[in-house]
Formats: sequence, structure tokens, C-alpha cells
Amino acid sequence: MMPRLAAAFAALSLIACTGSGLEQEAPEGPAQDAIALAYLDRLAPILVGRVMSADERSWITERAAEGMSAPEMVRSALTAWVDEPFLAETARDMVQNLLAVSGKRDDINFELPGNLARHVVGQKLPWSEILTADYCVGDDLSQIECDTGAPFAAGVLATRAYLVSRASRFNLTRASTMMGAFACQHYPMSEDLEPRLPRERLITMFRADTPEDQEDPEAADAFGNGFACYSCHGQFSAHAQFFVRFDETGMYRADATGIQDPEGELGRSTAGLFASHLVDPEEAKIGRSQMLGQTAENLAEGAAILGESQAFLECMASNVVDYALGLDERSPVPRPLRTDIAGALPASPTFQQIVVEALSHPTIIESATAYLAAETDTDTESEQ
Amino acid sequence: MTFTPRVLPLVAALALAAPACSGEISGDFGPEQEGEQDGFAVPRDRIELLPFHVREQRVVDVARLAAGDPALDILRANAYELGDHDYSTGQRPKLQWTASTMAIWVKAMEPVCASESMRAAYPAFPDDLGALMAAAYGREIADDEVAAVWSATEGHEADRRYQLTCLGVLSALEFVAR
Repeated sequence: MMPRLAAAFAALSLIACTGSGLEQEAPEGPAQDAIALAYLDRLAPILVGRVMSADERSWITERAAEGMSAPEMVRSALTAWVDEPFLAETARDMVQNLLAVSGKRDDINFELPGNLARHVVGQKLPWSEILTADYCVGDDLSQIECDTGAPFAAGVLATRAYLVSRASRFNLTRASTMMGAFACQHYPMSEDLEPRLPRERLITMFRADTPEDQEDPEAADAFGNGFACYSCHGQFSAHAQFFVRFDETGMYRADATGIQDPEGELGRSTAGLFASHLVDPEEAKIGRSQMLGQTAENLAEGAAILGESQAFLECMASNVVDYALGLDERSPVPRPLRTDIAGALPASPTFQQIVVEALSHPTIIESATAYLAAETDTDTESEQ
Repeated sequence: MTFTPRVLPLVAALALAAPACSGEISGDFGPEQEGEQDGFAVPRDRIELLPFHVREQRVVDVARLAAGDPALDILRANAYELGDHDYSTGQRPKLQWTASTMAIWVKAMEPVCASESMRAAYPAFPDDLGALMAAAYGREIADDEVAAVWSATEGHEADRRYQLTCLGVLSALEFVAR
């Protein structure tokens, strides 16, 4: 066991032995040490890149004998584990898979988002810095200028890696990935979270709610997406606008107009840029927009609002649980549970704090080890 | 040792049959929880490989290899076939434990099992087999588990038996999957 880890466990042992209130009456069902061991066995490779040590296993067995509950033992173990350097690799891989960006191609370094995640965790910075960092991080983990040429940076969002891999007409994919990955929101989202832009500010095709409302012949067939255009695009419009000055190669273009290319595919502007949703040419050409109901001058300000939001905290808790337990769309973490975890986090939490809070939540542990209870019930029935 | 297709069935059988393997396929999602606030069901009907970088780290740790050890060359040369990702070139992480993946993994473990550091850490089986399994799986290993794994390679000469046993331990689901 590493000295630091050993010290952490020793300190926690002392607390447990001197009566800190951590002891709880053991509930019925599987033994608390069995739950903690099964759960931590599953988490250890992902979080710390190793199996549990013999000392750690003994520590859990001993604490369980003293009456400590599984969630308390898990919290103690995680509190020690998040200081191990491998956690930064965990964050890197999580972000790379979340955004589907890694590797290098042509002159674009798709490792920049993962590098930033690793840096933020390694330095124990607030996790929101993956959206707000005003720098990028090179492969040698040194801080470098980001590669878009923009007069601002916005963490992983203002990297060519993100912008190229999510380039699409009207900037819809850049917007939807941003809100999906960092707010766990999909269009249409609650108007309480993101009020729609006024209908009259949008170009004609996005104002319609019904086929009868649709006045733009180009949108008469609704592109197969239904006729309630405004329902989603009233919100898409706000988020996509932040990207209007980034071209399809991910470079910042101060000369963007946001105007539809009359000769080009729908949703494309001229010179490799994408069209704005906004009808006013003066609005269409700049990146000023709205994030979660607040005005932001550009992508950097929008990302900062997102990074400080409750939606971001809840989503990051969910992302951590999904990644650590290997969950998929069949087993979403329920929203009330995400809210509960986020509510327990301090302001501007680090990735480490999110990991500890999310993965030591009793309901998360119970859900991940429910099979143990089923096996215990089966064993009991067999005995009877 | 050169990998031959003839070896694979034996190693595969060892890997899958080893008592150390605890990744059962239950075919259900576990008990339903009442009310969405009460929790969620963790799928238990599929085997998913650990992320590649996690498996690589485990191999390095168990075999006590230095980061740049050439024993890892085959593993790294086949990283994408074994589940690493490079999204820039369309390589998504493939985390299914297929026959093809298993064959490549076993081939990648051959130099690891033959490395000096592995032999130094676990000089002789079955005496040091329990220590290897404990390092690989992170739990206490019962004597009968060691005996079962050791008996699976009975009939081979000593060096080959060491190699095959090592390959079996490092290819077990408990080592590579969750």
C-alpha cells in the first residue's frame, strides 16, 4: 500500500475506533463488508488502475466488524483513492469517450480535450474548468494557446478537436453535444431551464409549430423531424449561435456573417461556415447569445454560465457514475438521484469531490450491488 | 514461445474455466427498484472489457514491468484491436470479449509471461501461482483455486506449463473485464 494511502486508511481507522458517529447499526441483507468489497472491487480498476490491496480489504473487514456501514466504508476508501495519480487518466478517458475525441489527424490534435481533463484533475482545479479554462494543455501537459485562433478560450469547447468533430449545418451538433455532454439535456428541454428565444428573432423555417404555420417552402416536408420546429429550435438557436464564428475546420472567423449561402446546402453559410438561426443580420454574425436564460457575449461566457449551473453538476455526477460502473442508456441514473448528489457537492467542486460524492451515495451503492441482496435471498430460501 | 492457433483453445478454456472468473452472465438487470428515486438497475447480462488503458496498467503492475518494456510491444501494437480508441481515425473502443479479441490478447500476453520481470516476480508454479493470481485479481486465493488452475495445464513440460498457466491467469475475465 502506498504510504499516503496507508496513512489515510490509518487515520480513518482511528476515527472509526474512537467513536466519530460513523458507526451505524448494520442493516439486514448482505454483510456490509461484502457490499463494500464487491462495489470497490468493481470501481478500483477504473478509478485507480489497480485491484484492491490486501491491506484495504482487511481494513474493510475490520471496520465492518466494528459496525461501519458500507457507504461509510466506500466513502473512506474513495477519499483515499482520489489522491492517486491514475484518477487523472480516468478523467481523461471519460472526457474523450464523452466527446468522442482522441488521437491526431492532419494538423489537428484531438488529444487537447483529454489533456485538459487530465490537467484539471491532476491540479485539483474546479471541474468546471473543462468548460472555462482560458488555455489548452499540450501533450506534455504544459499550458498552451488553444488552436482555434479565437480571441477567447472555453475549455474543451473552443478546441478544433471538438469543433471539427461536431461540425454540422446550423451548428446543431456542436450545440446538442455541448448540452448533452455537460448538462445531460436534449432538445426540447424545459423552458424553465432554457427559455426559447422569441419566435420573431428566428429565420422563418424555425418559427413554425404546425405544418400550417410553416411559411418556408424549403421546410415544407419538415426534413422528417416533425413540424414543431420552434419547440426545439427556439432553444437550439441560442446555443448554436455561440459557434457561428467557427468554420468547419474549427478555426475562428471574425468575418462570419451567419447568413445562409444562397448557393449552398441548407444550414451552410459561405466559406466553410454554418448559418445562424437568427434573422437579423447584425445578430446573426456575432457569437453573442443566451445560455440557461442568461445573456453571454460569446462561447466563453456561455460555457462559464453552463459550468456554474446546477444542470452541470447533476450531469457530471451522472457521467461519473455511468463511466465508473459501465452504465449505458438502458440504465440511466434517475434525475432525483442526480439532484441529490449535486445538492451535496460544495460550490465549484473538483472532479475528486464529484467522484467521492457520487460513488459513495447509498442508493448508487445499493443499485450497483443489488445482485448481492438477490443472492442472499436465494441462499436464505435454499436453507429454509 | 511462439503463439500457435493450437494453443488458443487450451488457454481460452483455462481462462473461461478458471475458478477465478467471477463475471457471471445472469441475463437480467437485477431486482427492479420501486420508484425512480430509489435507484436504477445495473445491467449484468453482458461482459464488457475494462478500458484498454486500465488493462495495460494492470499488466504492467502484475508483471512489474517498466513503462517502456519491450514485453509490452505486441500489446501496444494491437491497441486498437484490443479496445483502445483513436476517434480521429474512426477507431472507437471495442470492448467486447470476442474470440478474435481473445486470440490477440493472448498473443500480446506471451512476451509478458516470458519476460524476465514476470519470472523474477513469480519464479515457479505452482508455488508462486497463488501470488500471481492474488496480484491479478486483488483478493485472497484459495488453495483449491490454485490447484484447479494448475491442473488445467497438466501434461506440458515445465516452461510451457508456466507460460500457459500465466496466459490463462492474465486472460481470465476477472482480469480483463468487469
